[in-house]
Amino acid sequence: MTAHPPSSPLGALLHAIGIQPRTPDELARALGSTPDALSGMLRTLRSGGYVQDATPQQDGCACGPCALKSMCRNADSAEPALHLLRLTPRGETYLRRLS
Amino acid sequence: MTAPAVTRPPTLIPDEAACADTLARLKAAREPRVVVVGNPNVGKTTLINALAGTNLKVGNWSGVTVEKREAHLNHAGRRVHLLDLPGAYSLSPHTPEELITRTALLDEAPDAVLNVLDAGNLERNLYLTLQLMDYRLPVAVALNLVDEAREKGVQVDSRALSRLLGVPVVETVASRARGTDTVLDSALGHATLGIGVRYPEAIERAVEALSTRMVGVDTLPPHAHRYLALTLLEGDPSVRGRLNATGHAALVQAANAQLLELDTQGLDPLIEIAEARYALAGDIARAAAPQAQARRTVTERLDALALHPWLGIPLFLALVLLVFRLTFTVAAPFVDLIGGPLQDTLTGWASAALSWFPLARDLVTGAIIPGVGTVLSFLPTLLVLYLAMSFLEDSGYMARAAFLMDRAMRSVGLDGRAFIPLILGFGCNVPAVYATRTLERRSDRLLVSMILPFMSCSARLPVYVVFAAALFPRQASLLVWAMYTLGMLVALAFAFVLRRTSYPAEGSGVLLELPPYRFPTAQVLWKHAWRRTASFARRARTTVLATVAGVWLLLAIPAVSGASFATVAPQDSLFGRVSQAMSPIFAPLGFGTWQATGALVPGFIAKEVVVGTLGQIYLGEQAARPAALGLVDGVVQAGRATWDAVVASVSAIPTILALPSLNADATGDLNTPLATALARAFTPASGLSYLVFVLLYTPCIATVGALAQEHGRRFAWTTVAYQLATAWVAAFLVYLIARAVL
Amino acid sequence: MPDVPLDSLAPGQTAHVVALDPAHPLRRRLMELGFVRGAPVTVVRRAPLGDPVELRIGATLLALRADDLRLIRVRA
Repeated sequence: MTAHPPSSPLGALLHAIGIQPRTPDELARALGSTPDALSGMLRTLRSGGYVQDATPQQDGCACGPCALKSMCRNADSAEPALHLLRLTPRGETYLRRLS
Repeated sequence: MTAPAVTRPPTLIPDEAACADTLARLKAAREPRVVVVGNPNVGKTTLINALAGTNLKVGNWSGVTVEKREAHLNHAGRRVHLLDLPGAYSLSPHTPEELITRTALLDEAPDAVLNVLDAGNLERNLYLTLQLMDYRLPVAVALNLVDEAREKGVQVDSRALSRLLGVPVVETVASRARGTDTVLDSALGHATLGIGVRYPEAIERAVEALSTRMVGVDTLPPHAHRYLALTLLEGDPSVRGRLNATGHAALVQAANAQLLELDTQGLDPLIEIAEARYALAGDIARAAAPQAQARRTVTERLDALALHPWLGIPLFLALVLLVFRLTFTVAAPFVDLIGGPLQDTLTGWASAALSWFPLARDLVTGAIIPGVGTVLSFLPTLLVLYLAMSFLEDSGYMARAAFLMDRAMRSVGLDGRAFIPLILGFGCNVPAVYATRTLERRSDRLLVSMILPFMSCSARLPVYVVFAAALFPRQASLLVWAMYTLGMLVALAFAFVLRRTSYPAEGSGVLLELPPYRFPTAQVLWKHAWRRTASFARRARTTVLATVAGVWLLLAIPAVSGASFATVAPQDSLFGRVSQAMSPIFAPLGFGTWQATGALVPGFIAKEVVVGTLGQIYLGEQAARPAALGLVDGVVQAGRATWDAVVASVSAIPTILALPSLNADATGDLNTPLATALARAFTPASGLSYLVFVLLYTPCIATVGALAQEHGRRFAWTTVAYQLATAWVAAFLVYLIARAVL
Repeated sequence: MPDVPLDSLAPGQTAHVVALDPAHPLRRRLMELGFVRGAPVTVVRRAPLGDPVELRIGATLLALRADDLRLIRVRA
């Protein structure tokens, strides 16, 4: 069972990032929170090595053949324009332990 | 299943002895030192200025360029040393400012902490507060920016906050010096240790073990024990370095042993500690400022309208119609501008500049400028359309559309979520194909991908606009709306059929999340819309340019003897002959001319090319080349026309709301040369049939690529084939009916 | 108090989750969203065309079809 008690904010956040790489804004929406309120938690998770920036090479799913790379939120830029976040292997391990 | 834990995380009861000790020190100190701590941008500087007045001294923290503000002042007959620490989100330092703040807390021997909070951002601010409370010093809270928070709809109950934190809380609006006079009273007279976070048992045991080792060590004051122990467990390198350097290496060793022990239990103290603080911060914030409640109320009110039993669906349809109206009304003057005056100016300049090189002049003025220019003239339309779409998407309304349409979608065997790729398809089919990945079941993905290209993407819009202007100027937006609706109906009809024949439903279970509404910032909307529009423009520069040049070349190559390159009449060119040969196929649809047929071919590459090619064929025929223009004349002409367009666009905005006068459209004055030519070449019935064919005939090459990549080549080409057949049949029917009615 | 399926609630009514049918196709997702024993769930409204049904659980608003509601047992 992976139901997170409501008092596990970092767990819920990791879980939300684990579903798919997302931007802080998308995460806030998914969790019914605000990007501001999440910023500190994301910083903690990042400093603990649980979360990292998603890079288009790894996470840009189908960028290669897409004709609309230029309008894609995260295609082909070294510096991810929209700041997608993904779990690190450490984050994945931790999340597995939670569930 | 266990019962959900909804209890507040347990809090620490203040240690009476330590409490008495530090509180006594604060009372006894001859010049108590109060440090001011808070997140960046909470108005700390303003508060300090208000408190210190002329006593404020500004220097630098040693060795760094971070400002150090402090003041020695008299307050209620007592000397006070006020020291402002740099803004910090937490005491686990990530920035130089945070390192200074943390170091100062340990080194400057403060007697009390004045914690400044942003009332509008309580949850994030409270993390630091709870960290401060691990450092067992007397704390008082200044709840600042309460006015701004109230404007955001956040009302913090400062009494509840005080009760929950166990420390005094004073509401302030530092910028207007409200509450500032009582802040120091509170910090000096009432500051207490407050509550503290109770960490998981294993962590508490480790803290206990480490604290015991600190007892009696002079350089490690008792109030800092808990904080130091926690920081060691968090693995903070700067505190470790500090303790190692000051002769406490044994303590660090002990912490390492504890960490190893916790690790074998599968615990990461960093995250366990942070988790407990965030949980408590969130709980306190929710209890003291029911912000989510306020937002929920707004969402509930909007949903009462948007999801209303009778009004919900008409409202949705009206909204879509409004988007299209907006698109036309606001963009039309700019469309005229780019398609008319600006293009004339460029053509004039090009004629002048290339007058010695006729072949190049003809290519530029006859193919490149009109071809690309015609396509570019639709940028304003697209920009407005994308702005509106992004607004619906980012505001949370799209999810409501899925909710409203779920039942209808179910009758064709889909669910409401499939509606989102279909709506996206209105923008561009390519991202919509990729968006089908959000559907859980493979059969749904295949089915939606197959019907998607019937959704009228924005590249098809230019074709409708130009035909509407030519043939139905008074019903332009109604016509466009009808095309979009027809595409959708055809898509749904095929969904119904395909569900029963090729892609039977698998499994069940539909869950739609309805996020709270939010007002998207203009900045974000602009960014989204601009990026999409710019990508269209880039394609106009590459794909479209190449296609248009290719068509020009085919038009220039003679297919009859006696004619020479580039001077041949279009119908005698290679292009004309090939189109001619194909045209009988379209004769039953009412447009069996070589021109109409010819424009459809490059449309397979990109739909927007249809208009470019039509322009080339029909306007090339007229060969009405504007006179060569001087540089200055051109600038004057273009400048004047631009100003006119801005005025026309702005003054048209009020007419959007003049619903539902569909026949009084601003598009009536889209009198481009192409429209005039089309009005002569098509009858209303054949024009309508042509539009239906363009709507349905084939996905563009980029969409075919996306389909092939997602579902295989066979799938992609099957889609092309069945769409061509569908388009032919539908256009044929429309032609028959329209000829009888119109 | 007897258990009833969630689809028997009228808009505006609140009840507490008793159990999710193990065969529920969305069991996992629903648990993640807070459908755990004892959690209060409110029926907010039906869609204009009768289905799906909007629910509130915690701070989350979501919609389920009546078929999927039937497999959730609740107690008033």
